[in-house]
Amino acid sequence: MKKLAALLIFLNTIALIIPINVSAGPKSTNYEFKDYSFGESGGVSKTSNYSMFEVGGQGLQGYGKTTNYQLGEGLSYTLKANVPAAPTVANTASNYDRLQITLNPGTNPTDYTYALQISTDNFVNDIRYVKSDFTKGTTLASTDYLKYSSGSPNWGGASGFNVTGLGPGTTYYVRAKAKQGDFTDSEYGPAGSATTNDPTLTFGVDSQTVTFDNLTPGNSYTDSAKSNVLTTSTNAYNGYTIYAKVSQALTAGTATIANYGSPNSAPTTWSGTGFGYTTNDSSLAGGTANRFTSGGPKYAGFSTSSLDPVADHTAAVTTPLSSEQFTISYRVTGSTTTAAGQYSNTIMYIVTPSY
Amino acid sequence: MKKLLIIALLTLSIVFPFTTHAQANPITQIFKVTPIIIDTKLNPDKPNQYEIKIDNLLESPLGISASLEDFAPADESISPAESALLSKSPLPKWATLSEQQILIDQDSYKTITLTLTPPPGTKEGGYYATLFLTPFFSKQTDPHVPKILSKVGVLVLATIGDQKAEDRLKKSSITRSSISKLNETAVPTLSLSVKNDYFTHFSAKPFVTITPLFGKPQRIEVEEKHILPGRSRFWKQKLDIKSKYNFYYKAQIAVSVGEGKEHKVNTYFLVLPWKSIGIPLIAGLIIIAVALLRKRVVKAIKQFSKALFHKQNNQ
Repeated sequence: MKKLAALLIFLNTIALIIPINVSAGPKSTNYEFKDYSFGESGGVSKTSNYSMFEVGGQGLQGYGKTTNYQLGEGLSYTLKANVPAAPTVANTASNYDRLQITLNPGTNPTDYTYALQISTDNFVNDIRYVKSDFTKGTTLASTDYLKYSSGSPNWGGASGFNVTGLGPGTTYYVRAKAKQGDFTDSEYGPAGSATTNDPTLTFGVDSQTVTFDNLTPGNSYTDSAKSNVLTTSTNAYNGYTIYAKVSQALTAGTATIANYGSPNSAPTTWSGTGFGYTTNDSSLAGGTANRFTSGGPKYAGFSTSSLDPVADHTAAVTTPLSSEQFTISYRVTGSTTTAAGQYSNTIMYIVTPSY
Repeated sequence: MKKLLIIALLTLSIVFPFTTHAQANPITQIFKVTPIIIDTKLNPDKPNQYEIKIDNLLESPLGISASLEDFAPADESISPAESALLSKSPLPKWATLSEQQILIDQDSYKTITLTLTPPPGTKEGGYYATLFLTPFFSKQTDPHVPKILSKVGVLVLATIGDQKAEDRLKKSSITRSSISKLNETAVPTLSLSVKNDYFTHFSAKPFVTITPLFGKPQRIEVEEKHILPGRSRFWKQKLDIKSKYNFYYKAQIAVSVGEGKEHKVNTYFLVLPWKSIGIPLIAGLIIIAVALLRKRVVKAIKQFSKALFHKQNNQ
C-alpha cells in the first residue's frame, strides 16, 4: 500500500514537472505551431548563428508597386531575397549565337541562388529560361537556380558566362530573380539586353594568277619562290577551313607536269619532279597538325578530285578573327624531258566556316 | 651529239611565260559574305527566304557567281572526299536564287535572296548544302598561266521536323571519354567522342568538372560543335587545371545537347607529382633510414675501412 502511494506521488510529481500541452496548434508530421496569435512582437531573438523573427501582427493594407519593384510588408517579404538589378548582357565579341551575361546580385548574400529568363520580345510572348548548361529552354527546373560565383556550376561571378544556342541578328532580353532557401523567390528584376551579330566571313587572295620563272638548266628546271597569301576574317565560332584543288595537272597542249606525288595527309620533303605546294599552317586538320612545317617545308600535290585542307582555324573563335593570313607556297620542277610549252591550270581555294 | 642537241632544245623550250610575281601585291580578290551560316527550320511546301549580303571590298567592280551544291563539309569523322561522295542532299533542288550572276560596284554590296521550298511530303530530317559564291573578273587573265580562283561557301543546315531535347538526348551518346594525365608537367587532355543518331544535326556542348582531392571543383567549358545526323564528332583538348598538385582528381564529363539535357560520364585521373613531392620524399626517406640505421651504417663503414686497411698492409 505504501508502495502504491509512493508511486502515485512520483507520477504526480512527474506530471507537474512535464506539462502536457493539450492546446496543440496546426502541425505537420515534423513541426507543430505551439502558439500562434496576433500580438505584439518583442524584437528579434538571436544567437550568433541564428535569429528568430517575431510577428508583431501583420496586415496587408495595399502596397506600392511599379513594373520592376514593389513595396511589400510583413515577415515573408522581409525574408525574401532582394530583386536583382538588370544583368549586364553584352556582345563584345561580335558573336552570332551567344551573348555574355553577367549577373548583378546586388546586396544578396553569396548563398542565394538565381534564375534567369531570356526573351526576344522583352517578355511579352517569348519567355524562356537560361538552363544550367547555359542554353535556353522552355521550363525552369530547380537545377537551373545557380549561385552567383560559388559551387559548380555557377553563373560565373563577375566574369559572367555565355548563353549559347541563340539566333543571329536578334535582340535578347535577360532578367533575373533571386531565391533564398527553398521557397522565397524574389520578383524578376529589370532586364538587360544585347543583340547578336550575323555570322560573317571575308576572304581574300592576293593574286588572280601565279607566274613561274622560266625553267632552265640554270635553275635546275625549278621555281619554288612563288606563293599566295590567303586572308580570312570571321566571327564563325568554330573557325574556318580553306580547301584547295586544281582543275587539272599543269597542262600545255597534250603535255603535262604531274601533280607532286605526296598527298595532303602525308607531305614529304621535295624530291623528283612535279607541281606541288606547301603551307605555313602548323596546326592543320586532316592529319598530323604540323605535317607541312615540321622539319622544313614538306610538299604535297594538289588533287583534281577531292578538296584538301591547306589552311584553317580550328580553335573556337571567341573574339572575331581579323585578317588571319596563311601562305601557300608552290614548287614546280621539270625534267630534261619535259616538253616545251606554256603550262597552266586553275587552282581553286574554297573557304567554308567550320560548324 | 644528236642526243645533246635534243636535250638542249627541250631545255630551252620549257618556258613559263612571265618572270616575276610580286608577293607584296595587294589583295586582288576580297569580299565579305553575311551570313556565312544559315541554320534553319523548313516546312514542306512553304517557301523560306534568306538574304545573303555580299560586300565587294575591292577598289574595282567584282562579279560574283552563285550556286547551291550538295556539299556537306568534312569534319573529324569524314574526309572531304568521303563527304563529297556521301553528299546526296536534295536541298539544292529546292532552292532558287534571285540572281546567279551579280556585278557589285567597288566598295559596295549587293544582296541575293535564297528561297528554299521543300516539296510537300518531304520527310523529317537534316538537309545540308553549301551556297558557293565565286568571284569572276571582267578583265581577262592570261590563259597560259595558272589561275587562282577563290570561293566562299555559305553553309546551309536545314531541319524539317520538330525537335525535342529529350529525344535528342536519347538518340545521342558519348562513345568515348577519358582524361589522361600522369605527372604534374603533362597537361591533362580530354578525349571525347559523341555520336548523333538523331534525325537532324544538333550542337553538342561539353563541360568538364574536375574535383581535386583537396580543393574546390573547377568547371571547364569545351568548344561546342555541331554533329550531323549519323556522324560523330571528336574532341581532343588540353585542360587548364588550376589545382595542380593533387594526387587524385574526379572528373565529370557532361555533354549538353541543349535545353538543359546532358549526357554525363564520371571518370577520374591520377597525377603523380614526382618532381614536386617524389624527389623530396625519396630524399627524406633516405635521411630517415640513415638516422634509424646510423649505428649499423657507422659499424659497416668502420668494418669496411678496417678490411681495406688490412688488405693494404698485407700487400
